[in-house]
Amino acid sequence: MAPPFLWQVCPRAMDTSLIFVIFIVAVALLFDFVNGFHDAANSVATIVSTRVLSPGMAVLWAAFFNFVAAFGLGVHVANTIGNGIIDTSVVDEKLILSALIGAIVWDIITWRYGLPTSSSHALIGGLIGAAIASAGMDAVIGSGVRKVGAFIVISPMVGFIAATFLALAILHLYQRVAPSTAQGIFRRLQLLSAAAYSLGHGTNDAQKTMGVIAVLLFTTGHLGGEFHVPLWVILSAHAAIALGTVFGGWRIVRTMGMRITKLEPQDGFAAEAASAAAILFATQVGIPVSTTHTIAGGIVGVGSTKRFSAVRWGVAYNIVLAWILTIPVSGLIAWAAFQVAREF
Amino acid sequence: MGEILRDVGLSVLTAALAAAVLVPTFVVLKLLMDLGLDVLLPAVVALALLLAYILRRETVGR
Repeated sequence: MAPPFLWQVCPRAMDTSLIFVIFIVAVALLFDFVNGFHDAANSVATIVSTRVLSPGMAVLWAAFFNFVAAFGLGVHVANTIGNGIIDTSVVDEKLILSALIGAIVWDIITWRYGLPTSSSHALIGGLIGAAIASAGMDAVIGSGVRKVGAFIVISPMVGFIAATFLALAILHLYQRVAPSTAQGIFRRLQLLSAAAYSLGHGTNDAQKTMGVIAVLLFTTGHLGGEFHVPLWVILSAHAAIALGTVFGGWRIVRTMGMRITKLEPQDGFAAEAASAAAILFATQVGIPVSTTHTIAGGIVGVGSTKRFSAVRWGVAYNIVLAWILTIPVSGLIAWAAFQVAREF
Repeated sequence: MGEILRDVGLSVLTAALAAAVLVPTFVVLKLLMDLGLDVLLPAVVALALLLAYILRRETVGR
């Protein structure tokens, strides 16, 4: 005879466990909200700094496409986060909660200082830190972490390369076109590139939280026998990120849109179109890349085509430093959070 | 009317140009990725550094 479930013996224990899972799902959606809030800048910085849209309209535009991304773009990244970074057998509610605390705290710190760091890497760092605290280094899947680590370097460089090629091609095509005509055309085209970028951001970033929620539901037995991402998780993650985008963080808009380099509408178009392509590509092959890193690489690329010294390399250096610190620091915060959670 | 047609033509041409630049870039990226991270990572870093070097050399004095 199979042993009775805990809640069959003690119904109140089931209530407490389910309430804790619901609480953690709410914290995960809060992380998605903070992600949208933190990364809204990436989607709208170039269209705001080139004055194509007012700040209010720009965030609504970005939020709409972040939500639309919920439909039909797959869940490859969610699967990678859900079962490709840490061993699912060590996952429990406390581990997920600690990982989310690590990610949210680091996001808030970097938002406070206006640094466009990666919410994705903060979440991955949080998962790694909490898993090490829970079960040691063996709980970390080396190949998955290696792939994510490699793309920390690859994604901004791909953004840089693709945006540079595109900016140079545009420069060539528009050699004999009057600047005022070109500006008018790119102001309209930037609406499309910003939409594509927001779509990429929504699908890659929202999937990370979906992965976390799905692995939590799976390991606590609320998902059945096979790992999958339920529709309600997909829709709520996209809704949270879209809502966060509406309340976007303007400190980072300033850094991305104005401080790295001065942007014209054609620069914004090249940076966004190249970054959108890079993010959508990564999403289709299931790699959780940093949308922040990719667009920053794109902005540096278009800035460099005008004049290498037009890029404020000091600002870029601070951003890269924050990128390097993201996984270790969020991991450390999550590790500490798990030590506290373990006591309860 | 002529101006509108010119703007539409240029917009379509620009979108086609973007596709012509970005699609091959990502096809190459996918091919490198299929060869493994040990090939992809150094190839991307080397190309980015080369591009940065060329841009720096070509834009001096602007």
